[in-house]
Amino acid sequence: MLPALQAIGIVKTYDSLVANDRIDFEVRKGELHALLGENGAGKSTLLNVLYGVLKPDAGTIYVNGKKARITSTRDAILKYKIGKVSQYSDLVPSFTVGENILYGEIPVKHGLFIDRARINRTVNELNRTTGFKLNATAIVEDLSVGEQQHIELTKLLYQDAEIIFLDEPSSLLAPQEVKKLFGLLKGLIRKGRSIIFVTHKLEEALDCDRITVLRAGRVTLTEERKEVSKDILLKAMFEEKIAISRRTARPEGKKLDSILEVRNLITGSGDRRGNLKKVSFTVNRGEIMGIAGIAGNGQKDILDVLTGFLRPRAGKILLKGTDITASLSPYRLRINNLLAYIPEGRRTIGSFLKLPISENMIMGVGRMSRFYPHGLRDATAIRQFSLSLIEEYGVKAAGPNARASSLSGGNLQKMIVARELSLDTDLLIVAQPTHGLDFKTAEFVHTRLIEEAEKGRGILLISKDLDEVMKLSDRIAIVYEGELRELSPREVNLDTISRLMVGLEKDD
Amino acid sequence: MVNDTSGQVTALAQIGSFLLAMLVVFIVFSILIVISGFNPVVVYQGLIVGALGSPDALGQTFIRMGPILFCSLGLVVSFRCGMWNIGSEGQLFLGALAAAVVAIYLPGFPKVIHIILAMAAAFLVGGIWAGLCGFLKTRFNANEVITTLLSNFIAIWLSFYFLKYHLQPKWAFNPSSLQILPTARLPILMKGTLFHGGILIAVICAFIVWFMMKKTSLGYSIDAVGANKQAAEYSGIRVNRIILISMFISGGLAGLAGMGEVLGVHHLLIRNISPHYGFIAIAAVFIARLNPIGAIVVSFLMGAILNGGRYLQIIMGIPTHLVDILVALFVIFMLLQPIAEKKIKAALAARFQKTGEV
Amino acid sequence: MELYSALLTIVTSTLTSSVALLLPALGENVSERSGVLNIGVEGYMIVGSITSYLVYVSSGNIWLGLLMGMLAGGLLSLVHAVFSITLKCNQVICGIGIWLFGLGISGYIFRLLDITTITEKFPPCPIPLLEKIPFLGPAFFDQNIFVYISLALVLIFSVVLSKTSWGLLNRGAGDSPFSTDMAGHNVFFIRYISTFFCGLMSGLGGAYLAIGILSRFSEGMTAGRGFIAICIVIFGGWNPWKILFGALFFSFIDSFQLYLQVWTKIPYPFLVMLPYLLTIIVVTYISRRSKNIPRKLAIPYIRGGAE
Repeated sequence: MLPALQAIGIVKTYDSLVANDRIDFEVRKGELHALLGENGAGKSTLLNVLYGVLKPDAGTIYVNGKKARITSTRDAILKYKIGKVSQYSDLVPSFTVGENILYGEIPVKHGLFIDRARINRTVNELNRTTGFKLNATAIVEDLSVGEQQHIELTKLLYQDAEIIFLDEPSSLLAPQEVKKLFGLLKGLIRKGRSIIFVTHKLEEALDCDRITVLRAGRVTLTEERKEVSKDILLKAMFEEKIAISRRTARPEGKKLDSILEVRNLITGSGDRRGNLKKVSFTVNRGEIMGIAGIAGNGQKDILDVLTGFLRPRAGKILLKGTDITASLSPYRLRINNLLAYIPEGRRTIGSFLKLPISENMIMGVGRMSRFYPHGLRDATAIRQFSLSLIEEYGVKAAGPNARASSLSGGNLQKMIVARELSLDTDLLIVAQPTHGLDFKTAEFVHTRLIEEAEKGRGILLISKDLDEVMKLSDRIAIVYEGELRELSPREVNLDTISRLMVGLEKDD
Repeated sequence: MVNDTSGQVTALAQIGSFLLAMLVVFIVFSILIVISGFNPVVVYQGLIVGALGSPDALGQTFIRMGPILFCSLGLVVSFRCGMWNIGSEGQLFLGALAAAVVAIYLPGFPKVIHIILAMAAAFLVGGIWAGLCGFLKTRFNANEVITTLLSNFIAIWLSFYFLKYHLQPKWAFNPSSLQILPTARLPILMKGTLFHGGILIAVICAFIVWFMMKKTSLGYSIDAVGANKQAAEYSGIRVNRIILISMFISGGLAGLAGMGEVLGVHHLLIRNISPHYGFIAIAAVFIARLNPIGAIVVSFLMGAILNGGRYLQIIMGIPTHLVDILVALFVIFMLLQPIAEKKIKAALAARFQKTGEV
Repeated sequence: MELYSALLTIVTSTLTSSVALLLPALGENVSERSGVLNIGVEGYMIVGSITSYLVYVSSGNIWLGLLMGMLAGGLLSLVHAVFSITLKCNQVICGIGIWLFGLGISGYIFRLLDITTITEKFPPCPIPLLEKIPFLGPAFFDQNIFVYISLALVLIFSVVLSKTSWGLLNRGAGDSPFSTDMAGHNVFFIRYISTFFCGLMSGLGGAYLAIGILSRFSEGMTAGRGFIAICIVIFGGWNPWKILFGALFFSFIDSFQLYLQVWTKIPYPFLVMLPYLLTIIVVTYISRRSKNIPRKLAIPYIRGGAE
């Protein structure tokens, strides 16, 4: 029998990073198929290709055996009956539940007026199928995210979507809701729908009929549920592709100066998964402290607090022994040269694309006086500084006056790294430093970071890339659902770490 | 994304797109002239003669250039900071009011001091007025487009209030104030014309603004905030402060435009102190690509167009509104320039890549 | 008796002149709900004024004049639509350009043709029986027909926008053009129609002003009504009934200002400022509770194709 959806040889490259590397993937009719993998493995990219958001560099897609040309999301939805529920709601916030579900074909009476009775009836009918208790007249923006997901699923049902993509749906749901969700999904596949369930959670994958594992843009495994176990899946997800070169082990017992100390940090309100629940850790001089974990488990809050963008509800931050919790602001951190920060998002918050490279290089209120002595620009100093950094870091650019937007991703990242590392601070915070970079540039960044640590700086590394964390860090901690747990040297192995990252206990 | 390491393609695309937009403007304008029953060649000739044909004409061009340049400079600062200040017209009116008060009611100062005081008053009042909208933005995130747009009308009526109820002498027919004191009059720079010192001050301000934006840390911070507000915040720049400062400077410069009109052209305060100079400046500053030195040239151009219209009316009987239409066409069709630039850039890049050059 | 006749005049003229605010406000409401901001409403109005005046003077037919005025406004709004929707330009700058253009071209044509005919005002259209009611009768029921039409329009708009599928699409295009597009509707078409409608309504408002109540064209006769209409839309929270209230309120202040000056000593300029001031206050607080604001107002919809 022909598969409902089949992708052959999908390739998608960004700059020099291969996000999807000749992926073959298919889902059968009436099948619940899990797409499992870490962040950055290529799951979202593949889904976006299949949904018409991205155009693949190579590869073909077949729907029900016939070659498909999916050039836009509208095509995917209307022509090929593909539906997607993602973490970001696609609903119209000011509409009611009923209006959203029936938006494609609004029922009217007398040719003009919205037939609210019919909308209500339809929603109730759908409720019977799904088991949800949707209120047709509730306004969407008043509802919780979980309820909004229910609406989106109901909408897919109403639209008769044949192929359904679910992108990490449980990330915003409570456990009971997840159970309910699976019940609904099983009901759907019994009726012949095909569902692709993207997740990074093992238990969910094991609840599906077939599982495909992606790692670093490649398919490492495609098997029926009964052929796999947790161990097999973990190996497929996390197997090392390069020998992990640990840093030279520090002699035991040597006392180190602490540069950054975080004590009992609590953030946020409500049940948001990323809120910190009493997080504590230290970063010592000459050390790289690595915090690993899957995105959304608290990393953002840690970064926001330490860079001065989020006020914690409780806890203390000490820098070189001084309590700075009360005076955490981006301005103060920079003017006192307390912090260097390489953020995630080099295009969005890490750089000024419209400005020349030289202006980017000198950015940082703390060193304004060096390049603008008495408030006046010292063009020679700026030019020399930029040129020396461009050379030292091998940034491939037309010159210091070229706009930052002309740089490729890798070179842009090098520029940011150059900018921040050249600040003479004790503490350096680095988030996702090699995300989307090619191998050579990533290696370069790693080498530089290790050099800085050897020079005596304290580095906090936050990354979703486990290989990176294990390669660079002296000590490792894992965040999961707002809780941080530092690992003892014994626990530092792929097995334990990968379990903790997905929320399993060590011995599960 | 186009990889243009040599910058040549960008430069070509910029020039090409500008010329294209201007061409469209002139085509549309010429069609309008023809429909009205006039000869386009004669009209263009008239515009040029009227704007540049004699010292007197040049003087008239310059006095229109002045306020447009002042306002444009203000917009350079605020637009580069990412703040869409469209309240220049109102800031001009209030600046004119402040300058008039100082110029009329503060006797006993030597000439230079008196003018400087009037300038300071105009800058301060215009700056505070714009700064208020900046405050509403930084504190309440109130959209500055709407607040500055509406603040125009409030300012215009506020200035009218003061004019009619406090500054107008009993015997005056139309709403106008007393004459300003002779010590506050801006000197004429070209004998026999109306070319007054205010325009020179505007040009000097252009260089000051250029210097500030290019050579000082304030200018650097303003550009950074405008380029990426969040990244600027991460780097430690106090974004709210920069926004307020840039709005203040922006309103202050527009206020100086009003000062120029009172102290240099009319020598008193009247009701209609500005024929939409503040709005014309918006077009001018886009054409000048937010560059203060370019603003000098474009403001001159706009002044020439407006002045040329007068000549067309007197000599040919064509209503001056024709040039208002031309200015409006510039405002509208210059919006096409960035689009054209992108398309030309992409087309050129494709051709270059085929031949292996970039 | 003095007071009575004063009050009567005020109320009557409030209603009569409110039409010139109400029509463009209703039109802009529809357009903004779909996501397009028309700063140039003043321009639409004034080209409506000049067109209607010229057509009426030359043809003698007031209805033809109104129709042509309406179409003139519509035509200008289509220019704005092309730049804002298809070319995705900055809607604010475009609106300012359109306004200046409308101002310029109406003044230009007026000066060129140099017509100064005073036209007949719109005749009153008293509703039989009801007009006999003391005070209310002459004030409310002896108005010209457009007042009744406009009030009826408020009701029609309110119903259409909240109870029909068109109203839903109109709101969806401004709130979430992406969802609307994915549901299979043409966002661009919805926005074009809404903008054109705004032009028609505003042109009609300008025409009403020129030949309906003021009997002639004069430069700048719209006197900022277009901008006040935009204010009314924001002030009225994109709701037709609140917009009606806003139009009446600001029109009242305009009609009442002579008396207000005498009684309260508030000078006329401050009363004129009032709508703008109130709108700034509303806008400042609206960012807190943006329940009604079309989420994607003035943001061009770019259909993300596969890149």
